[in-house]
Amino acid sequence: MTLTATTAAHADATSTVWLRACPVDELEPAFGEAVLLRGRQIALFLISPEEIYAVSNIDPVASAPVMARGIVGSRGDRRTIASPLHKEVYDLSSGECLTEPGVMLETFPTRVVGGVIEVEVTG
Amino acid sequence: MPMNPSLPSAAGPSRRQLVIIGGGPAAHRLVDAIHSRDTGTAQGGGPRFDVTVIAEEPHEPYDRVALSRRLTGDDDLTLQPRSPWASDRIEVRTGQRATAVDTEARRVTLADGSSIGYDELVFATGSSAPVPEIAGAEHARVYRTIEDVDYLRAEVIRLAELHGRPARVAVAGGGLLGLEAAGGLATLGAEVDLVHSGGWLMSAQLDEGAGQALGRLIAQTGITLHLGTRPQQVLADAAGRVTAVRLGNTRTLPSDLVVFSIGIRARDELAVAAGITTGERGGIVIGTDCRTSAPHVWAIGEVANFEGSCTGLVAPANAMAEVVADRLLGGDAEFTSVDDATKLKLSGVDVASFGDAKGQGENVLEIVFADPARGLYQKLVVSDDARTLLGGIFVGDAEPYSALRPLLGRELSGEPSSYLTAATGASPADLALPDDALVCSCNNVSVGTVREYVRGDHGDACTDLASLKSCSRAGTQCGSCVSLVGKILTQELTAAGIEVSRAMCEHFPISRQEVFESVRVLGLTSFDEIIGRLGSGHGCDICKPAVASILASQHSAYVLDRGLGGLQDTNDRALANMQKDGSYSVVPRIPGGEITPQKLAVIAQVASDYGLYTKITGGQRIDLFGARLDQLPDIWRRLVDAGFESGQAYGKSLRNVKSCVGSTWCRFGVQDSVAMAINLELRYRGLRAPHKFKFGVSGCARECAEARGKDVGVIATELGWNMYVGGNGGFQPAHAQLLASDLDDETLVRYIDRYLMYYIRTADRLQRTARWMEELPGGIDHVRSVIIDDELGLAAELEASMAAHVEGYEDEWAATLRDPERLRRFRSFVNAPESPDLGFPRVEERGQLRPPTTEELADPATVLVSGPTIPVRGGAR
Ligand SMILES: Cc1cc2nc3c(=O)[nH]c(=O)nc-3n(C[C@H](O)[C@H](O)[C@H](O)COP(=O)(O)OP(=O)(O)OC[C@H]3O[C@@H](n4cnc5c(N)ncnc54)[C@H](O)[C@@H]3O)c2cc1C
Ligand code: SF4
Ligand code: FES
Repeated sequence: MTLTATTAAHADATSTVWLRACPVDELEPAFGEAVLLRGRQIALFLISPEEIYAVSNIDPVASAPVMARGIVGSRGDRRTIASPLHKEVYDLSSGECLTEPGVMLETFPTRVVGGVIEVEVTG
Repeated sequence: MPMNPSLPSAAGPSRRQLVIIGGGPAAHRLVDAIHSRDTGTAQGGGPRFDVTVIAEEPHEPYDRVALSRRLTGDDDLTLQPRSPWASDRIEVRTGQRATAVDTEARRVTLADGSSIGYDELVFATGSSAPVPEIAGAEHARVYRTIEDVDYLRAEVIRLAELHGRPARVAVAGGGLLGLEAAGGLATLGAEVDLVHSGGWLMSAQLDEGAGQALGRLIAQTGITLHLGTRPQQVLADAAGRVTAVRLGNTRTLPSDLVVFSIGIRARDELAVAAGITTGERGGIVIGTDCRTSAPHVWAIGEVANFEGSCTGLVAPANAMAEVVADRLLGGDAEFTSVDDATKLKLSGVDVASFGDAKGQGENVLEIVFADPARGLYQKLVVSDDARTLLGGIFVGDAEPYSALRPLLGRELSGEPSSYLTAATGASPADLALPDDALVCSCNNVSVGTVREYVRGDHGDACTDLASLKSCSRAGTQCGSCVSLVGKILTQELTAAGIEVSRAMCEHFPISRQEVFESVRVLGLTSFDEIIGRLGSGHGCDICKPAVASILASQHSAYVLDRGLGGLQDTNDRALANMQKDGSYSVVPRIPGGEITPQKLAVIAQVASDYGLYTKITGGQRIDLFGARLDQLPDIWRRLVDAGFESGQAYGKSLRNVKSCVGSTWCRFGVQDSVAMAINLELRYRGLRAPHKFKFGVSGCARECAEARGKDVGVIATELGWNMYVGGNGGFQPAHAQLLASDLDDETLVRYIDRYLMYYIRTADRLQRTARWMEELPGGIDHVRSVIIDDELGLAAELEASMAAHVEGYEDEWAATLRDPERLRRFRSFVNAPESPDLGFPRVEERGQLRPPTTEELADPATVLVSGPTIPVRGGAR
């Protein structure tokens, strides 16, 4: 199952690859964890096996690798993640910061292939 | 008018003629008070007075305080209420000047040659704005009436058009009125020079430091200051147009318009001519009854000279008017003191002073915070024991003023310095306002009266600020008390359980307390269940931790269990405190601050093995900084093996119990404070609450453990323990209040059980004990009735909940270490658990490691070091 949330930056990229991150059942619902993909730290959030989000683990404001440890929630019908450091809230699909205009969190498309979560990153 | 006003008492023996000369705010207040109170209890059934107001200005009495509003528009300043003027017993003759008073014949002569007899006469003639007798004075203007301001506004616009540049205005006088005039004219686009004879602005109210700070703020608005000098001559051309002002320091300022705002001159000319006693520096002399030297003649407002001076403020004018109304109607009210608190009404420039602002009394202490560069100055004047509030000055940030002014002459509940918001950068400490404190001095409205209006003791309950203001009158004049009135409104509504949204967040429309009760009554145990029953959506970083805490206090279950992990704030989730770079700090529990040398050595060894920065905390514990997520379990294992447990520095729960060494060593100690502290810390450890909380235990009244700054403070007495509650440090410090005295050990513990559980059940999210008690109706008395007298019949239940907590307590570190499923969550990367969490460069300082600053990171010359298990300069960041 794919849940794409393609950012503008991403659409422009020429070559992308799907990388295997981890089995779906490694993650606990709404409890984010980090994966290391080609030297990149990516935070994964499983809402349900049909709804999985991937964003950069680096907090755009504090530049610290902590996003996976934030709290998953919602604002209206947008799924959100709150930075554990200063509580900025980001839209999980678009990466848009809902509390600090102009700040963006990098997001990545995900899919599940044979019980394994894959994340699409630029080659 | 139904009667002939020129004959005294023409309407018969029961009706008397009251004549008021002057139609300003003082006259209006007097008429309004008579109108609403003169219901007639003398011989007849009707009102006792017929009232005639002789008002020289062409307007119905208007609010001079709000005069500057005319600068920016044709605002209607007519004083409210207007209802008295509709009465057929009350007449205002606008555009009529009184020209003479005969106190023998009791008759007033008017400019049109007519006259009017009186039974009682009140001077409310106010003052005029003086212009000094210098050459060219006739070309100068003042800032006192609607006509003055309308003229100035038109001139500034006309001059700008005429010259094709901003009008140049010189304002003389750097007091309240001069500043208001200068600021107002500057907002109209004029180029303003402000000339002030004092060494600093508002020199009558402010001390030098405050005046300097104010000067900086005023200069920032573009107004040019000329201090320590005064105008000597107004220069004009042949047509009488102003061209310049020559100053005493021989400078000449090119000007198109000159405005004098240098003070007030009482309009006592009629009184002088009538032989009524006036003061040395002018003004009609009155006593506390507001009577003048002539029988049946009174004086109120700015024209009245009380204790040697006239006051140019509306609050005393209103108070005097109330006194005269009361006395005319048979009462014996007195005017005893002048409230000369002032707040400048100039947008962007916050200045206020009250009481003995300059600290001129004997044996007073001044607590000052000054940051001249930022134009900040805050000062409190207190008695020499630092308790009683005697006055204050605020420049740049007058936030605390409205709440502090009512406490003038009273004891402050906290450290004086805690009210200086500019120093702490916080909002002002919350003040407990007694009912009899004055909230609005302009209109003499007490805190209790405002509360009565909110509760509906005088008709319909006022539940919004607008209706509260118009009903109670608080806040309707200078406006400086409005924020405080609003605060009292919110407090009262909250206490009454009315409106005021307590919704926790967009997902829960109800308060934490309501969620807590529902969870308890319905026996809910998971977030999904709770949000399904009580809320909507998927939750967020506000409600999730709140629910997790509620579940933890009710079920005292390990916080990472049963899907609770994702609800927890990041610190609870990792059982450690996240630092700014994403690493963690680890705090083992050290009950009561007592530790063996052997255990100390273990901490030292762990810290050096993991390269952790080590610091003693304010709570008698040791904090180890810089651990990675994946290192936490190993560190805990070492500590747990040596007999430590989690200090729960991460949770909204009991932190530490601070203690002094007590009777064991100290020659003053009367009880064993260390043993008690350890006992309490072990009992309440792990207890989750709406906010973190702290304890302190002192071995005698010398209070070395600072227990009164804690949520629960225990202080030894000869007979047992005194229990204090509701104190805290932090950014809104509060002193704990005494709940009970001389308790034995067992009763003390029982009361603390009840107190904490009652707090946990009923407080709001993130509400500390001090705030919680303050907002409870009845405050500490209510708490006492619940905790000690058990008036709600809750005591047994509260104790049982605490017993369940004590029973169910488990060290969260040990629990995590025992369980491989739980341990898994401390992996760095799901797909690469063996590769350490990346990116924690360190630099060395004073023999320890710390994160580099951004500049150090950018600088290739920085020496980055790594501890035994810390990677050098992160690869993936
Ligand atoms: C620009 C400005 C801003 C102010 N800001 C504040 C503030 O923020 N806070 C504050 O507390 N105070 C402030 N004041 C002061 C406040 O306005 C006065 O204290 C208040 O108006 C005093 O009221 P009063 O009725 O005693 O006198 P006045 O307001 O002076 O009224 C007296 C009236 O009597 C009339 N009169 C005089 N002689 C005669 C006569 N012979 N026959 C008939 N009529 C006569 C006058 O024309 C005048 O209309 C301010 C004043 C000004 C000018
Ligand atoms: S509070 Fe009393 S007992 Fe404790 S250390 Fe101070 S003086 Fe000694
Ligand atoms: S203090 Fe001036 S309006 Fe209340």
